Amino acid sequence: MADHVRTQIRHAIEALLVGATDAGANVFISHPFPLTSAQLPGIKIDSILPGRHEPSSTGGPSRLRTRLMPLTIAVCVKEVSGYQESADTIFKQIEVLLANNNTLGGLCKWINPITEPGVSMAEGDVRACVAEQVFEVVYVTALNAPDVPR
Amino acid sequence: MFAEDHSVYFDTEMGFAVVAVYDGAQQIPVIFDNAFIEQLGMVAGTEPLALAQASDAGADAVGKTLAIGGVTYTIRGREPRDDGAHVVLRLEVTG
Repeated sequence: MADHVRTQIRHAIEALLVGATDAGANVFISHPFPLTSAQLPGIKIDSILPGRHEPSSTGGPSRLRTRLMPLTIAVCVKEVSGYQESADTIFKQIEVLLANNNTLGGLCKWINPITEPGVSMAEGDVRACVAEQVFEVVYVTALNAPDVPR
Repeated sequence: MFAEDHSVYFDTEMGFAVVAVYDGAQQIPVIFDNAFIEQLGMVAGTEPLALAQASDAGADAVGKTLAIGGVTYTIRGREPRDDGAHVVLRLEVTG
């Protein structure tokens, strides 16, 4: 059995973003640890927010479910100046990539940004800026086959 | 009134202090700390702080530089402590 489509989607987005933004290879999924200087600028991808299912119009174990999965993308930068602009630039690159690959090769129906990036800043040896944007990934599976995109 | 003498703590040989270069010219003793912090829960960093005698780092300290151990910092905050005889200098690596 293949991975759950959720997992396939996260990995597909990771593969899409690696090397395609100013963050370079610093794209991470399921990475709870703080990013080090060598990992910045960096992108974190998580689907930890609860999503929802659309009601089915039919019954049975193979009925199709439309799933709406919130996906949080965080851009982390650390610079003395221009950090918000750097985060905005990377988000611009991400939004264009997701818009131009909106079904991830058939894994999902579409991906839409549903928030503007929320920006947080912190002081320290060098200022850190974390901007988080939530996207909604809409995908369909049969109830008894969550590993197969429909 | 009892006058506290904290100068022993700022002794750079027998106390806790190190020599720092304030504003590019003046050598002052500071007690330096640079502990790990997790910024915004996502980014690893440190929080450089220097405890100095208020007479060494005056009210106009913010924006000036402080060089410690080969690293030059910009003073971003000056926070008086207790009776005002000492100040905590919040530092950022000079970019």
